[in-house]
Parts: sequence; C-alpha cells; structure tokens
Amino acid sequence: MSNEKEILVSARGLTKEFAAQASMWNSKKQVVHAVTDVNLDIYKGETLALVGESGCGKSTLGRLILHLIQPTRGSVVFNGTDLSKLSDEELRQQRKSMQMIFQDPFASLNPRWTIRRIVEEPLRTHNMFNGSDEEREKRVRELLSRCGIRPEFMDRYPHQFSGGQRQRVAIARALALNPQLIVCDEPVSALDVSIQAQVLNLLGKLQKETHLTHLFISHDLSVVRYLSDRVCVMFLGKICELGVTRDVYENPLHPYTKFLLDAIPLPDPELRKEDKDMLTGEIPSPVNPPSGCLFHTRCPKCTEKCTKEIPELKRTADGRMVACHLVEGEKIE
Amino acid sequence: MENNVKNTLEIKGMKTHFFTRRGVVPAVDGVDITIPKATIVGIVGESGCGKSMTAMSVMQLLQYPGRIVEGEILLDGENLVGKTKKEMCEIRGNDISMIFQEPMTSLNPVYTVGKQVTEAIMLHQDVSKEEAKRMTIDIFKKVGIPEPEKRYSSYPHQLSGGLRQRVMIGMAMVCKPKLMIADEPTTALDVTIEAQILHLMRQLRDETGTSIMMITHNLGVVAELCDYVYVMYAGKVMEAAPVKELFKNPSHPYTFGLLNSIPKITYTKDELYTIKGMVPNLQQLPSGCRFCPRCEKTMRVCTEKMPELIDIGGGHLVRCCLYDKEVVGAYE
Ligand SMILES: Nc1ncnc2c1ncn2[C@@H]1O[C@H](COP(=O)(O)OP(=O)(O)OP(=O)(O)O)[C@@H](O)[C@H]1O
Ligand SMILES: Nc1ncnc2c1ncn2[C@@H]1O[C@H](COP(=O)(O)OP(=O)(O)OP(=O)(O)O)[C@@H](O)[C@H]1O
Ligand SMILES: [Mg+2]
Ligand SMILES: [Mg+2]
Repeated sequence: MSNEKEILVSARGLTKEFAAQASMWNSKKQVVHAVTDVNLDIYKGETLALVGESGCGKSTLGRLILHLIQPTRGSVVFNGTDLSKLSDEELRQQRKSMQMIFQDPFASLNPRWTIRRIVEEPLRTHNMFNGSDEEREKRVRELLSRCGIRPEFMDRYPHQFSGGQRQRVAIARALALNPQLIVCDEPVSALDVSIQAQVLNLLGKLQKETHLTHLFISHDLSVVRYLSDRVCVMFLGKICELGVTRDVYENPLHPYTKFLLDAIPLPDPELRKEDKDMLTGEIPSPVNPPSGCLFHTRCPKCTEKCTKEIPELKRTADGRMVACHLVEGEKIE
Repeated sequence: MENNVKNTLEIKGMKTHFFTRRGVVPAVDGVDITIPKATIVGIVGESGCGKSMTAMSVMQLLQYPGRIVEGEILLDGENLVGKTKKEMCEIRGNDISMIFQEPMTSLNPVYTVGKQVTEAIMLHQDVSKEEAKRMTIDIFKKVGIPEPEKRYSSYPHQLSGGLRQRVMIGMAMVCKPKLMIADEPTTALDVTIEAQILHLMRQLRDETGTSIMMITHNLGVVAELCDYVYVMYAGKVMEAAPVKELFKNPSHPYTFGLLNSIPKITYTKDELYTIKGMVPNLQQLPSGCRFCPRCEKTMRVCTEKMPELIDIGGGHLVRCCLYDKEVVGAYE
C-alpha cells in the first residue's frame, strides 16, 4: 500500500551529533548522539507521529527535516530537492512550504504584536499579494476563522487569549503561506485537556480539508493514536519501530514499543493493572550509547547477539519496519 | 486518641484567598476534602482551579498575600489552622511529606541525597549512623535507584527528575508520614518512569499505611492510582466519588466534559468533545454556578443559585442544580 503513495520527504542516513561540555565544572568536550542514521519517508497528506522518551531526539529530527539545523551526516530530500544543496535564498523560498508549530504558545508569539500582525508577518516577509493590504487582510481573516478565532478579535494581543486560542493563532500563522509540511513539536503538551481537545480537533479538521502533511512530535501516546496515520517510535536517537499506527498499537513488535504502550495510564479504572511489567533502570545516555542494540541494557529478552551487533531496520510481513534481532523480517534495500 | 480517628485528613469549609492590590482572589473557596487512612485520593481539575493552593494550605506554606480565611484542616483529628510556625515545622518533618513536580525544591541542593535520607532516618529512628547509611542504600535499592552505593554521594542536581522523585519517595518510606501530598509528581516525567513512580506510591501506601493526596490533571493517572477522586473547578469541589463510579457515571457536566475531551487509546478519528469557553477569572466569577457559562445543560436557576454538594448515593457527591430535587421538581 505504501509503495503507491507519493513521498514528500525522504531522509537518508540522517545523523546529528552535538558537541557538549561534560558538565558545569568539567570543560571536557563530549559528543551527544542526538539522532543516528535515520532513514525515513514521509508521504504526502499523512500524519506521521514521532514518539519516544524525553531526549530520544524527536525535536532534533524534526528540525533536521526542516533543515533548521545542519545534519552531521545524511540528507533530506523535500519534494525532489536535496535541501543541503540549496543556497540560503533558495532555502528561504523552500521554507514557505515547511512550517513548524512549537509546544509553548506563550513563547512562540510576540506579546507586543496584535494577532493580526502575527499572522500577517509571513505574508509580508514573502511579499505575498504584491503588498496589497486589502488582499492580505482578507487572507488573515480567512486563516483566523479557519482556525476558530473570530476575525473581529484580530486586533487583540496574545495575552488576551487562552492557551488553546494562542496555539490556534500559531497554527493560523503556520498556514499563512500554504505550506505542504507542518512539523508540530508537542503542540498540545502545555494545554489543559479541554483546550487540548480544541487544538486536536483543528489539526484533525485541517488534515481532512487540505492535503497537508504533518510530522507530529509528541510523548502523549493517546494523542498520537488519535491523530496519526503512521507512528515512528524512537529510542536514543534511532528508529526502533515504524508502521501504521493501528498495527503498532494493537501488536507492538519491538520490546521497547511494548513497554512504552503498556506504561500509558489509561483513563479507565476498570482496566487498571497493578502488576505491569515495568522498565527498570534509567534511560541510557546519548553520550555513551550502549554497544549493539541501544535498548539491550533494559530489554528483558536481551541475547548475546543484542549486546554486540547493531540491529538493522527490517521490513516485517505486515509492512512494518522494526530494528530488533528477535523480530523476523527482510532486509531493506 | 489517635487510633479511633479513621480519617487522616479532613479539610472542612476551607477558604484560601489572596489579597492582592487588584482585589481578593478566592483561589480556594469553601472546600471539603476527606482522606481516609491508607487511601489515595486524587484531586483533578484544570490549571488554576486551586489544586496546589489547597495543598499549600494544608502544609501552611502559603506565600504572601495568600492566607486561609476560613475553615479547619484536621490531621488525625487535630486542627492545623492556628498552629505556630514551630509546631508546623515539626508536623511537616514528621507527619506530612510533600513531593512536587520539580523535586529540586524539596531536596537540599548542598547535601548529597544519601546524607539527606540518612539524616531523616536518624531523626525518626534510634539507629547508629552506619546502620542508617545501610538502611538508606536499602531504600534506594527498593525504589529502583540503579547503583545505590554510587548514587548515595550524588547531589540532587546530578540526578534525573525520575531519580530525584524516587529519592523523595524513599525518604517518605523511611519517615512513614501519616500523609503524603504529591503535587503533579509525574507531570515532567516520561511514561515509563511515571509508571514506576505510581507503582512506588502504591507500595508506600500498602507498606506504611500512608494516606496520599494526589494532585494531577492527568485523568489516566487518577484512573490508574486513586481510590477516590475530587474534581475541582474555580476554587470549588464540583464532584467527588469513588474512582470507578466517577469514570462510569460522571454526573457533573464539567466532569463529563473533562472525561470526554481526552483522546482514548481505542482507535477513533471522531471529533473530540470540547468544553466551550474558558476557565473563569476568579475575580469576575459568574453569579450562580461557576461552571454555568460553559455548561450545555444550563437552566435559568443555574445563574441564580450556587448549588450545594448533593449526595446522590454510593459516596458520590455532585454540585449541580440538575440533582437538586426542588429545582428539578419545579421544572417537571
Ligand atoms: N543544541 C544542543 N546541544 C547539545 N545537545 C543537544 C542540543 N540539542 C539537543 N541536544 C541533546 O540531544 C538529545 C536529543 O534532544 P531532543 O531535544 O531532540 O530530544 P526530544 O526527543 O525532543 O526530547 P523531549 O521529549 O524532552 O523534547 C538530548 O540528549 C539533548 O540533550
Ligand atoms: N500570589 C497569588 N496572587 C494572586 N492569585 C494567586 C496567587 N497564587 C495563586 N493564585 C491564584 O490561585 C488560583 C489557584 O492556583 P493553584 O496554583 O492552586 O492552581 P492549580 O489548580 O494548582 O493549577 P495548575 O494545574 O496550573 O498547577 C489561580 O487562579 C491563581 O491565579
Ligand atoms: Mg523535544
Ligand atoms: Mg498546581
């Protein structure tokens, strides 16, 4: 099925290493392996979710895909164009079709600007509508009402809106230039549940109405299940499982995915499990990643091979990709 | 005397107000909460509804210009309101422990975590320093801290959030407090670590009989951990019920809205339910029921009268005119 789909973004061997100081008192340089050798295709019109524990490299991967940061190795091809080969000006033009929404709607909107100015800023920067004020205002009104903000409020300031409304303003701004891809980095994590629902409904509606492609970064697995078509589970900078969301949730193949799904507290006391299998120990450090499979230090099924050989991503019978020695599948490419 | 009190904590008609230059903010406005012995009670509600201020009132750690203006806080039957600073210090050290979202605030940054737990043990039990140190390492093992001997001499900032939270729970396990107040203890943590912490809290309750006040906005955490739940809105308790009853039969329109606006793990792409409008400004509260401007079932009477908490049976309380016999009778 996925073979017939059109690919919008194709990442190959994407790797990002940060140089970081060991600690406040130790000036020794260390290498943080934030994202390691990621191969990922994003299809046109889909919502692909990126999940995994804090520090596993979700935000870094999102920013690499938009070329907001330079990869240490590897490439991103967007709509047939290799982003690393573009000049600054060409990249700026390309950015029109790639937008990002952040977690904190407080920090991402300029508090001194009216929301009209906030939403119209990208239209001005890219000189849309040949500078026609009338056309631009029409567009701002249209964007705001599409995001459920009454256009008559456009001359108000961010602090006069609730968190959910502010996040919807941020979405309106991201949509201003008709992007093809939106990377949403934890867009609802800072919001109360009732407000979170408004934003999720809006994202769902946009997905149905337009052919927008979403890369949706979240650590909330219920939200991911609700919104995404496919899900990519990351652990310590690498993909461990990637597949159709329903398949992954109903039958996780990678041991880490199993633990992750099992750990979610379900909002139903009848389903309470007091004897869950629990992951023990801490998440290993991206500064000294373990040898072999990155998950082997915490994996209950760990074998000798897992401690030595790095598992490649394999394609399983149902078309999923899994990086685990214990899962059957065929080699990719 | 203590043994015949079956409730560890009883908050009765408590009001905590902030006297700001712009007027009075009724952050907690007449709240009754009961926490029986060895019970985990959840307090849920959206941001700003007064959860943390309820906890801070019990601890008597309110910052100026906040103060308790009315009500009683009974810990094992003894009123904490009116206790001196010194008495409260003693109570906080012995009978109540508190863990926060950011446990840095409850650990002392200049001492190693091992030393802090060792001292807590020596304060509560008559043991030698060596013995206390050995017990600390045992406790660290028990709460799942890897390499406990090594971690003994770590400073709080050298540990991850999940490890610091475990140190705090370990500390509570040695102090065996009557009450633990946990204010969003897992909100900053990953799900796998959250699951471990919830497990430890349950273990603390089972082994030491500690009662726990669990403050959270995560209904999953409530369903997973709590025995009884209070739902707060704009400084008031709107609904309270045993956990299964609350999820099966949410009776206040606000609770219903909260439960239905969260995405479920079961596959669905239907639209989520949303509660319209925004949380009210506490200084411009609507007349009558505080939820009424956002409520789908508003009747005229809702704008006129603040309903009482009504007992609908089975330990289930609801503050809503829909359950007021007089009101419903008048409509029929
Ligand atoms: N600019 C940077 N310099 C050094 N290290 C960095 C930098 N940015 C990220 N890292 C490190 O890279 C790793 C991956 O970080 P990233 O922010 O991508 O994780 P994440 O999955 O988004 O986590 P979270 O869920 O907490 O947002 C982390 O260990 C982080 O500390
Ligand atoms: N110093 C203060 N001055 C005035 N109002 C205050 C002050 N501190 C708290 N409040 C108000 O008290 C109310 C209750 O705050 P509280 O911290 O208890 O909310 P909460 O339910 O814990 O919310 P959250 O989920 O965001 O932690 C809030 O509306 C807040 O604005
Ligand atoms: Mg991130
Ligand atoms: Mg709080």
